[in-house]
Amino acid sequence: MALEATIVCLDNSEWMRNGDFAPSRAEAQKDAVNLICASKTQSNPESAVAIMSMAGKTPEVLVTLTQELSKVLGGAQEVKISGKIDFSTTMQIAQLALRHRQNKHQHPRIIAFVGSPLKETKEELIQLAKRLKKNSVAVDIINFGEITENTDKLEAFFNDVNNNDESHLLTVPPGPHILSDIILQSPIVDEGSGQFGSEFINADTDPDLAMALKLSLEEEKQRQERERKAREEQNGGAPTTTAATESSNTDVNFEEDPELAEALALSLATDKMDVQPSTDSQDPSAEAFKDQDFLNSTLNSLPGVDPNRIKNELENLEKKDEDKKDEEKK
Amino acid sequence: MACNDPSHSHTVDDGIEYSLNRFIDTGVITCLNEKVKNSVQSIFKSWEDRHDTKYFLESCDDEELIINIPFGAVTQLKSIIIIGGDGGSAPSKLKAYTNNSNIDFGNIGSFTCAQEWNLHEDFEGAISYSCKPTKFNNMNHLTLYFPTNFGSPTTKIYYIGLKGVYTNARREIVNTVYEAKPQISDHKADSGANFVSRDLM
Repeated sequence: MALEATIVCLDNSEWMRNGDFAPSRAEAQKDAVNLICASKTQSNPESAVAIMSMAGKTPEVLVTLTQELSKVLGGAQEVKISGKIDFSTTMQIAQLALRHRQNKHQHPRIIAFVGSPLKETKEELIQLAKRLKKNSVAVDIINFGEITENTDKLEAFFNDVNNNDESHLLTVPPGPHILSDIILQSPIVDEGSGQFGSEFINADTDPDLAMALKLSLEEEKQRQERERKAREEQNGGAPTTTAATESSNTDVNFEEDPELAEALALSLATDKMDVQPSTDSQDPSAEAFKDQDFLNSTLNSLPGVDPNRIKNELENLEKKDEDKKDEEKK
Repeated sequence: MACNDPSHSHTVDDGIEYSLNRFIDTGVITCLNEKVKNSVQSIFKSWEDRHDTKYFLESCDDEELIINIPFGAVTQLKSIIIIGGDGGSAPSKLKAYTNNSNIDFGNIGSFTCAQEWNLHEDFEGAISYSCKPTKFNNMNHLTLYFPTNFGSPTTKIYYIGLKGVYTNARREIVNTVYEAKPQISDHKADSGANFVSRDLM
């Protein structure tokens, strides 16, 4: 839960129209920016975030360092695509903005999205990195899109700016995965014990409840893991990223709503049921019966619903079906 | 070994008075270009521990160091002692800036320093560098900049001692005391003609 002043630098060059990250690099970047800003402000309420654009006529600070998430997200939405990025000027402007932060106790950090070719040479980047390290600015780089051209230069930059593992370089190859999810699992959005972000609220008021919640959540996670592994084996090495996506989605929901998490988990289980082509689910009534069990437990957790009544209704429907079948047989 | 340079003295017999170190909150001291994060906080030792070589500050890639010391209260600095490392890693020059918390390597050239000293290699803490009183009065933030050393690729500092006067004048706006249940006995007022009435309470 570090106290940080973070400047997020967006790549808004023409290369971001490319669709190799669905739906386009720019959209994937926007999602990722929302995620990063939210996590920085949530991990420590006194942390400040700023947004700047790297391309266009000149790099420009769109939102100055602020603790209000809504301002930051609003500024990030307004970014327009044009021109080419100017990485070194961006870094210098970011450093200047960080130098003039209100609260000197915040550790300065720059997070840069690089999705277009860098025009600086390796030597220039190394000089820039040394200056940043000297002024103890940590730099996280998300390298995506043009990784064949940039990885070499960015690795040289990263090696010189990294001080005590405070900086990170994340290289994301193109593929069907979602940029935000990859970032979520990387150390860029890592708050140590940040999985159960809202846990500390419970721990203050009711430690027993917090303990119970934590245990049940962990059990749920383990069950998820087992299910995922079973599903992977059956699908013959299905992309782990989609499974990771699902588990990370449920992780986010666990924090807010355990009931919702349960419902999601159940729907995942029913998905698994659909995926399994074998077993005995050719008989529609048997499938309906199994679904009913899961439905019942879901409905039980919802207030104001009487599962018994529904069960009776369904049974009546089934009886009618059976009657019809008997008639047909006759 | 006295030399004729008036800016420092070789007799440090009032070492025990290097008491500003006691009043400094080392937790808020920051350093730019240090190799180990927060190692700067361990070099503001007490006078007795000044020879302890276990804790020191070393610069990272080159020999420059900037140390920012915010004081909790208005302070007057009288003199400074620096114990550097051997083998050329002791700093050879010191520039001090007051009341500016914005200094980093990018803009240090644009500020005029309050005072500048040429340092000598001192492993005993025997040399104290005196500060011009007019410049170092009423100071609440001190920045020390060591631009060069005696030849080593990195600079090492084992001890920094500050001598001065620590006033209790805190830079606070309001000094408030909150009472959940005010007690009359805590607020002794003089009974006299101006006093309206105690019986109302």
